Amino acid sequence: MTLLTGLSIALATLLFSTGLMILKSIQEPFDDLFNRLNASHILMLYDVNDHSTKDLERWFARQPETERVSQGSPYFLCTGPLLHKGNKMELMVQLTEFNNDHTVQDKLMVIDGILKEGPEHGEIWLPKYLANDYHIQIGDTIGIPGPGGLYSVLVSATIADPHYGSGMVNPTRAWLASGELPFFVPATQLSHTMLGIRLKNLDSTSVLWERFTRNFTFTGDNLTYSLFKNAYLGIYQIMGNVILIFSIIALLIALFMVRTAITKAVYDDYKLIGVYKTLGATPMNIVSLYVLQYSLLVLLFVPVGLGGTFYVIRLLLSSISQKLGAYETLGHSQQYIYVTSFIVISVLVIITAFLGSKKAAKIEPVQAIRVGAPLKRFSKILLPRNMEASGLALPVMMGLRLLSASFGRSLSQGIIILITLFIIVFSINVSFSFESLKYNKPAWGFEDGDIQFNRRDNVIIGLTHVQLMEILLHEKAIHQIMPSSYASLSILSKDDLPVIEIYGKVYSDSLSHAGLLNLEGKHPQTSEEISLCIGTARQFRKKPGDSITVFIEGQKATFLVTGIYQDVSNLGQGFRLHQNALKKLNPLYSPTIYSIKLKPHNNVDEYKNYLVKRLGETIAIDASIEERVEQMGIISEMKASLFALSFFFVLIMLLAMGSDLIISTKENLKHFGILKSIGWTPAQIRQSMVCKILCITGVALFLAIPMNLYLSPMLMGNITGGIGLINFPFIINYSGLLMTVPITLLLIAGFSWCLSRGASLINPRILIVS
Amino acid sequence: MSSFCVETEHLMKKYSRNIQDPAVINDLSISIGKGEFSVVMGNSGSGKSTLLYLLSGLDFPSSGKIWINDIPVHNRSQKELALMRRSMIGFVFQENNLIPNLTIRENILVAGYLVQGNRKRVNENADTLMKQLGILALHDRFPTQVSSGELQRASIARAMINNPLILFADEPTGNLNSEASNNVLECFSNLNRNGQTIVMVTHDLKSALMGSQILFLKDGAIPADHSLCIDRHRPGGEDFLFNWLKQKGW
Repeated sequence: MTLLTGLSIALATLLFSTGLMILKSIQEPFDDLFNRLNASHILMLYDVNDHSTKDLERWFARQPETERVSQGSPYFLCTGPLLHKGNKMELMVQLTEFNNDHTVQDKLMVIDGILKEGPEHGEIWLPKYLANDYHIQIGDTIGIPGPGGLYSVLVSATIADPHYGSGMVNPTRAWLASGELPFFVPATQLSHTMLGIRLKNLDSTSVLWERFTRNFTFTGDNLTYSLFKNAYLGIYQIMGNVILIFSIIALLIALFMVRTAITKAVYDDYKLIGVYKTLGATPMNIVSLYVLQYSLLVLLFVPVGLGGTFYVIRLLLSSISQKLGAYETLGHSQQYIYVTSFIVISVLVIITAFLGSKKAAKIEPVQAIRVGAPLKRFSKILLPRNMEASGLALPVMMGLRLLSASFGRSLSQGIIILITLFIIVFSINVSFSFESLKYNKPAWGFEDGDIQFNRRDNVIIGLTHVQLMEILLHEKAIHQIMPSSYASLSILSKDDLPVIEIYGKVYSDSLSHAGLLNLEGKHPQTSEEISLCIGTARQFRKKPGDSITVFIEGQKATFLVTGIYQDVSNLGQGFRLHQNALKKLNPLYSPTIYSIKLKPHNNVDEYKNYLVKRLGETIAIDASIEERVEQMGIISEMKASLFALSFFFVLIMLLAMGSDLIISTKENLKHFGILKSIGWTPAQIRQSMVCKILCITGVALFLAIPMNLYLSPMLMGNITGGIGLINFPFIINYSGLLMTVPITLLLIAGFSWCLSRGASLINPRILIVS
Repeated sequence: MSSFCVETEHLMKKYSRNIQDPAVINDLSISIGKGEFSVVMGNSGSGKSTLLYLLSGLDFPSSGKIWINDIPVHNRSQKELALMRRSMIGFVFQENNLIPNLTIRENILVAGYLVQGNRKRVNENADTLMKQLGILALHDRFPTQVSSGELQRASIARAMINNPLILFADEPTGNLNSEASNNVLECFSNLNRNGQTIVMVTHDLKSALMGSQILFLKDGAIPADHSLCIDRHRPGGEDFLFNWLKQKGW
């Protein structure tokens, strides 16, 4: 019993400190790498035809918040597939030139390959995750499709890149030697530059950016520290929140077990306590006896839980490190969290022990010695009241009586089973919801398309939008084509100053045709309408019917907000426009992204190959959202963490059940002896104990599943609200639910059958002894 | 088929593994005939209750053999013993040992349902028994709500619900006042009159006189002259029995 209580304390400690550690400490390897490589907190990507690098450098260098401004690095956005060993790598890459400044700011750390300052002529350095995902080895050749044909480079290193190393930022970045780009890209197309700004203090990002937008009309892209960090750690934030919430429940269960164990101990020691009191023990002496016991338990088992946390966090850190490409795993705040967890859990257990043992202090010595512990009152509230009218088998009837005999404990047991089942069902459905992303894209904020590709402008003989649409409209396999393009706008304050730049999408057809959904309101249709992503709408307190003034396509424009939607791809920030709006501002606008929905019974992969064959280099097929999510390992990590959480709760449940069975056997020792004496077999006695647990489990199952289906979407909505999903696309896994019922019943029946062995070994001789 | 209901042969029971420690039951060979009301007496620690638990299959002998109705008991598994107990043996303890969270009636039914599939018949039998034993009015009360004499009668009803071949009673009047004690003994007497074999352990002379033979247990054995057939209607029987027991070292 003590061991089981101790183990439950250890497990609660493990979950609690792991949750805290993930939320507070797991970011440290990222920050550590970011600082060691002197990475830029703001990364600006722009066209040198629109902005002068010198002007930008000079302006930022003068700002008090700036620590250092990097040199501009030319880059070329390669939208076509890179070739590796004859295979196409469907991804967009910013091929960036390495220069001497990268030895000071935005440094690169070589993980595999020859250690040198930067790539040499004819070489390419790739982020570690990219090499892992595509199984690229040092010494392999990568073919880069350029306007002038295929250009081959040798992979000479894989690197840790704090900006692009997570694989969550699209396009990604690879490095070439200084002066390499003109070898395969015409000088006229080499106008894109990347400029990094490192700040003295992270908190000054928004102030600096606001000042910058007041002075410059910036038309490029800017990526900030928080975006890169979220790209690495967003999934861990969700995991941390889930674990922390459930760890509090685990802690409550452990405290309940402590209280039950003390109540039982006081009951068992009733006479002894009376004797101690007659010998002169004060109530405080009696209380200290129990508090000391549980203090020892805390000293033994809380470190066990913390040891488990150390191991779990090392696993998580190694997973992050693998992505980061860094091997620094120990965070500085870890000791602080270990100490905090130790103190919190210890204090709670000791307080519980103190409160629980106060009953012992109140025992009257005379009554305790003469009469012993008061007789337990049996509850008569549970059926079957009338045994003869009931057709139930004897072990079932006795199981129900055992249940009602200790109704309070049975109720608590039921609550623990209910919570565990809730978590199991929660894990099954949440994992399934993530897995079902590809069938449920609109709910996540994506178009309901099977294939997405870019129309490439930078090829010798390209296709215009009209030409491409002409071809696609004749394709029999295509059910729906949704042309669109990315756009950015700056939201203006009341003083017409840009407050924030956000990215969104412009659609050329009705947004409903793309399957897109709104949380409220409707899709934009006219040139004066816009819909906002939930994060943006909340930040600027906009709702359907409000107006919003923005700076877009070099002009100020005011839109009517018609709808609010959710989108997981940009942390809740974004907008959607109909192309009417953009065409009004820029008559030359034409879409570049095409999302295609195929007719039923068409194979997506086969059709992708067909499209590439038919349209050649005029298009570049994007990896689908489900492929990207799978590459990044989000689903597998989420599933693993939910599985681990469920596993821990199953353990806690089994520990609680074990302790209940042991107490139940002790309490019913004499009853089982009586039953044996009148001819009950050992198996029947065990069956009655199993029946009791199964009855509780049945009720818990009956409540847990509907409760879960009602509460889980709300719970997940709260957890994922921060990343732009306030209505979590919750999908019920019916087959998983159906499997849960028999598996749970079998597990619990098997476990309680094994633990009830003690009851079957009772010798009726105890009836003489007692 | 033997005319004995219970037989033992060289029965031995030791609780200690130490060879030098004496056996509680030591090389005991007895036979109890069908329809007899045998009373086991002896000093404290002589092994009376142990003998009863061995004979009823509630405990296992260290060596030796036991038969009930020619069926060996000594080499049975836990489950087989349980099956034998429910159909062939009834047991009445000194303390009533009723299950406190079952009513008086349910305590009786819980034993009856074990053997008989026809629950309606068990219910009827339980009612008949309770009526015979004068506890029918208490059927829906819990053990904490009735007197100890009534509880003991309920115990007898539970022991009798499956019409056992033999009824064992371990000091059934030990905790009762004289009126309750008389009622219980009257029940035993009536049962025996109807042919029920009874083996009862007692310290009480009055109780012992209800029996048809006395077995005096001494140091775990019954020497040849330590059994006595008695006539319960014989005048001065209590004095006679007292003197006989005194002679045997009571």
